[in-house]
Amino acid sequence: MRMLIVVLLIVLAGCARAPDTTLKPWPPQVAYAPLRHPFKGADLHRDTDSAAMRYRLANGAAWLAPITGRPQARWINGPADLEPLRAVAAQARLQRTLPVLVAYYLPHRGCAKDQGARGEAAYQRYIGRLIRLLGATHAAIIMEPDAVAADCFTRERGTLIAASVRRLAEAGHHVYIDAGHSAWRTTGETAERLLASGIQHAEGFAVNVSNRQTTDDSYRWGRELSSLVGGREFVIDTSRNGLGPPPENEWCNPRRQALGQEPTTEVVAPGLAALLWIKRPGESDGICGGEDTYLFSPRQARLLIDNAESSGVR
Amino acid sequence: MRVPVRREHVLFAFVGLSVAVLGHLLLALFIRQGLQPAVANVLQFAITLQISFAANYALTWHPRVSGSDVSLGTRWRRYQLARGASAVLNAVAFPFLAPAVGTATAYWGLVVACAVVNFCSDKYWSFSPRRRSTLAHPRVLLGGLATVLLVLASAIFADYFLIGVSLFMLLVSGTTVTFQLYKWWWPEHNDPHRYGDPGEPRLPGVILVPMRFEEAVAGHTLERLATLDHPGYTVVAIVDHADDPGTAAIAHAKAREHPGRILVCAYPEDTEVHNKPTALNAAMRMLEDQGVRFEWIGVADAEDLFHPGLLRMVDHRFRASGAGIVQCGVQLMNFGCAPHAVAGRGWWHAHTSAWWRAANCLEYFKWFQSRLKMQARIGVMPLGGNTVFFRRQLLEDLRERYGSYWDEDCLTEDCKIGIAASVLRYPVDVVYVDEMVTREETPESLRALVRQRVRWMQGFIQVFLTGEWLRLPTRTQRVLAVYVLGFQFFQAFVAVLAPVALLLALLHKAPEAITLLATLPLALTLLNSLLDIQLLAQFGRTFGERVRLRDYVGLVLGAWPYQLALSYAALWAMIRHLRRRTDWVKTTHQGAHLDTDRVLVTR
Amino acid sequence: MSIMLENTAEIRQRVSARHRLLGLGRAWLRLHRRSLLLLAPVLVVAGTIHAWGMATYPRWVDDPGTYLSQAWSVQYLLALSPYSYFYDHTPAGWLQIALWSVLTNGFNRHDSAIDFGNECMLIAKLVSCALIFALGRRAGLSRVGSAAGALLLALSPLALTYTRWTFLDNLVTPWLLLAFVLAYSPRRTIGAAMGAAAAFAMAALTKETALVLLPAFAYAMAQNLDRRNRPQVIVMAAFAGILLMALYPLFAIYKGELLPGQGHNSLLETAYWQLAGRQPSGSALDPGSPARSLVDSWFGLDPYLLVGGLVALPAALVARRLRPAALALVIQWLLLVRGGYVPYMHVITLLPWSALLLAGAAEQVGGTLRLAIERARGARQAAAGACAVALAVVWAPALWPMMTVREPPPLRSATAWVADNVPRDKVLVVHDAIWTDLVHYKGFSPRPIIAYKLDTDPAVVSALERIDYLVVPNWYYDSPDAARYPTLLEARKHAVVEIAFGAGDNGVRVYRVSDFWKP
Repeated sequence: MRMLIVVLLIVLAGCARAPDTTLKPWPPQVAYAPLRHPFKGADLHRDTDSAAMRYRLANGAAWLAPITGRPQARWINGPADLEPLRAVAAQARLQRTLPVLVAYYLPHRGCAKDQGARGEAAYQRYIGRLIRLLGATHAAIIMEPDAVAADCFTRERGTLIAASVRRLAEAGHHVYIDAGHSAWRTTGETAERLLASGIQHAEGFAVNVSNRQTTDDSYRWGRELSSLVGGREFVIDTSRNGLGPPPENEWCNPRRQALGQEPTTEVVAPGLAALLWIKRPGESDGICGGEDTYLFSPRQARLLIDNAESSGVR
Repeated sequence: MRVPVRREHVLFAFVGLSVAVLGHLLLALFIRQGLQPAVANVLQFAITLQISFAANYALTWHPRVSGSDVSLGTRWRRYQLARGASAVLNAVAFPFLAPAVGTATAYWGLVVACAVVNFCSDKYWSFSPRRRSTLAHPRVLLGGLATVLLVLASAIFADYFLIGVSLFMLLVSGTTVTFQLYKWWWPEHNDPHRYGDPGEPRLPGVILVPMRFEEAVAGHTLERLATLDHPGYTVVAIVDHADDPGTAAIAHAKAREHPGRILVCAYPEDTEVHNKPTALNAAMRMLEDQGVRFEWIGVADAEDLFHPGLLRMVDHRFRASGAGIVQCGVQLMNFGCAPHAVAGRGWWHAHTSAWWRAANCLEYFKWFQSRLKMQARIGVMPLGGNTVFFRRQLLEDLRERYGSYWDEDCLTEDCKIGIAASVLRYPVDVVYVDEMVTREETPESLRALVRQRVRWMQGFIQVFLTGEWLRLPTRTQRVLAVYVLGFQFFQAFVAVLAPVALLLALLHKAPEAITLLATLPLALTLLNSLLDIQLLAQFGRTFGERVRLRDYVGLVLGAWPYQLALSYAALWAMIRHLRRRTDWVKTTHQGAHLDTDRVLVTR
Repeated sequence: MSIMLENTAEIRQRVSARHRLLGLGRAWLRLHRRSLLLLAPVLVVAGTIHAWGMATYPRWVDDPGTYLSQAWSVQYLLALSPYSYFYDHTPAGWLQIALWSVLTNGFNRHDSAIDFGNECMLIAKLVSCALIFALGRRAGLSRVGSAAGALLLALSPLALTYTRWTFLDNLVTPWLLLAFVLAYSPRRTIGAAMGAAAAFAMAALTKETALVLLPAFAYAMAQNLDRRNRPQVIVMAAFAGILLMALYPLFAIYKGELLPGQGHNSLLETAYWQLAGRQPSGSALDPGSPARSLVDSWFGLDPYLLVGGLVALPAALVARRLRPAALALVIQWLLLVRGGYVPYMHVITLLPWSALLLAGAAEQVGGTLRLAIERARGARQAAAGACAVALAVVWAPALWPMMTVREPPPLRSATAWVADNVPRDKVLVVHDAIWTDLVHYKGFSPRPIIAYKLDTDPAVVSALERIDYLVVPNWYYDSPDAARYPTLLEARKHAVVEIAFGAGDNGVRVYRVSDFWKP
């Protein structure tokens, strides 16, 4: 019986048309700029002008070496931070190193009304000055930590970021938009926001900035996200994730934190561009956990270093 | 010279087992001697075959072979051939059967099957007392071989087998139900006034009554036939003066009582054969010689009590329908467990025979109410043997075409004449009026019933093979003719196969669709039982008989065994036909003249 | 005196079966000439209005795709469903669709399975209209009245919307109407009664909910019984109906799936869930219940036919042979106020009876008028005809947009995009409506996964290794029902929109799932 049916089906299949399996790709919705892989073989710029270094020099605190001895990103939190860039740029050009900067001046930064630039125009001026001051020095720019992942993300914010990304990229800089971290938003939602924020012009995105998710989790999350945004590469902030996330993801100066893997551009994991220290270890997260400022705190630095040593993270 | 059956079986089993054990010992011995297993097997078989021949010859079948004129050499040759064939078949079948049904089932199934086949071949061929044994006819053996192959094939291709058998059973059961319901299919078919008002009779006619050894009923029957409500008819009693003077005397006495109404016709003395068509043909010749005026001819059996108003109705139907034949209802009456149903044979007999008698009565009820009407409408009409009336013109046309009125060589001349009438394009009118049916009784035993059916079935085979039905004018009629003539065999086939199919469907993991299909015939069987119950209730109402709960139970439980009995009859009819045995003496009333064959049939 | 009648020769003359059939056919045509002349234009109108624009209106919903995928798997996989069949509905509906496809090469004649389903529904609609006419005639309506009944079903915007969708109920309608038509067979044969019972059983095998109309059907059968063959008719009809219906539980028994048990589907378990386990929709009498909003949405499309049917109930009761139809309508309305689960296509079961009763009632009113006004011949027909024409005028403005929608359904556009851009070995999670298209016309292998099965079919769950694309309408994510698709929702959290078609609930976004996410 089955044979009979099979024969019948073969006869029928004879007059059935074969399915059409050829692909006729439509023009892609999103056109991605070619990747330049700026971290490949690059030396990270060591910034001597940091609060930790100043503290070390001022107090002879040699114990700070694990922090001061490593390249870290330089945060440009507003127009006031722009001027010193000139020197940094010159030095980097001289040393043929790659400076990592953090643009952190978006209007309503941290979802607070009075934070960041006052209006889009002010922010555009800020970006313009940034480009001008860097001149011919090409930097890796971590774009606006938390801006994309924040609750107050809007399409307008995305457009502003996208415009800035585009300007920076056209000026030859390598932009990594901060995407949040693995315990915050889903990759799907983050991808949508990144696309709205001009990821196609950026070099990639940054994961775990100022947060303490483990490198493995961050990589998994970043890789997943990368696949959703045209295979852009990403960097992971390993400055303070030596112990992984503190209980209940307490983000503000927790007791349980340690320095993470040291920054490096020699990474082999696909999609990953570099491990960076973007948040400067020792700088306070805010007014909490016994801290009264956002400034460098030796107590925090000590905690990070001690925990790293006792747990064997180097 | 008959051997007690039980001793044959026991001896056969004993010899078989002993030889089997011996065979195994020999096999072990040979293989230990270093022989190839195949060679060892063949050698072992050849040796045990000779031993078993000697043992069976000397022990099992000794009483059958002593005094027979068949030579030892012939027997030996037959034995080698039969046993060899069964062994080869066994060896060939096993590798096919084992994967289909399981090794153990295949092995033991084949052992049992071979034992049965060997027993039969021994008994009826190798060691038969007669030169030509009962079964040892090449056609019978060929048929048996075909059946065996069919069974093997069906076990291997169970899915196909199930589909085929289910469709066939559906066809048979479905048409059975449809034909059976013809009377009720349209409400008009069951209208109380469907036959119309008979009015004044106008056509003269004759009633022919063949009688032979009917002293008990002849007087009563002739008296009733002579006093029917019709102005112009003649009753012709056909009696054999030399053979049966008693009945002849009664007939002549009645003829004197009713001068002009009853005539007596002498059965031809120049023949040894006694059958109904010869008698009827003789009567026709006499009527012609005497110049009796008639337009129709009725046939009655010696025990038939026609309803007084029957002839008026027949007269009316001949005129109203223009039919060539009017077949009136015949009805078996004694269906139940009530002792009066079996005329004083006692409570036990009434209860143990009720199941088949009820089924038999209902068969008639279905045939004459429905089935025959359906067949008459299409124009393929095997007639009943009595209470049937022919237009004279039809009989004359028959004689012109076939040389005689009734075929004296046919076992079921009534069937044949019906087909012939259809070929001559005479329509048939079937009349079933409840109060006018001719009441009859079932055969006195199940054995007699089977015997009757064997004769009918063989007659149907005859009619089929003469091929007269091929001349039926339309294709529908020819198809129906095959169906009608073969129906009893189809039904027999179905009765045997139904449980096999059901078991197969349940045990063999067939696809659901096939299992569902195999369920449908079963459902139709259920429907048949429902309809039978309904019909029995109606039967009781119509004829004022009380139907008891146990009658219903007997009917339902007996339905399948009844079909099995008919299957048995069909098998024998086939075998008898293949052996060209047609020496039937038809009426069971003539028990004294039974030939030796009867023993065979009813054993 | 000769007994040979003059016409004996004629009686003897047997005509061949084929000639007899031809003769019967011709006689039938002659007898029904006027009916056919009236019915033909009605069917042309019904067919035109139904077919014109059926590819683009109404929107694509879940069920048609489900049934078509099952019909496809009957034909091409020899299985009742591409997934394990779980007795959600009796299977005869999609078996019929599959049969039609096998006979006419149906799936290959169209570019989309939905189009083929639309064709099936067109046929069902035409048959239903013709059967409404036949039933009207057999229930004692005039030709015009019966035609009016058929027209009402053909022209109502509500009916047009719901009968264009490939729903099982649309296949039930012809079987039910056929059952009633045969139950009213004037010949009253056993065959007609068996046919009626078998048709009713087919209705129940097409969708089990048809069983609630058993009382109405039995009532119609009882009205037409003849004393002369009543017992046989009852036994045979009951047998035919029960046997046909029994095949369904028998099938379950043979598969060992009748009773609930571990690791297999079960007919009784699903039946219990259907009867008791589903979220009740509340009573239509209760404002604010889902059932009420359902009824309101029907009224939004066309209030006249449904209300007309209700209004017609008492008037129709005057006519004896309309009573079973009235009973059928009452039963179906009672289901709405009962408070249990009501599927949103339930309205389909109200439509034919409403149309028939409305036409019947119009005739009754016309008949009454005729009594009042002397010599008003044909008042009954005029009343029924006028009723249909008046409603046709009222409905025309609503019908026009339904016939002239131009935008292709978003799912269809999405299918085209997926076929052009997605390699065939990707794992797709798709809406029912495009499953067959992707498998049959686009050759996706492995076969895409119907979104609903992602979380309900244990075989799918256990075999799931990857998901590459999600192609389902937005309502899957946004409706309150979304919780029924946890895996789908989870996958979307790791996916990005590749392209979007349409907007709002019906819009479709094609999501590409991250290569590095595992379900």
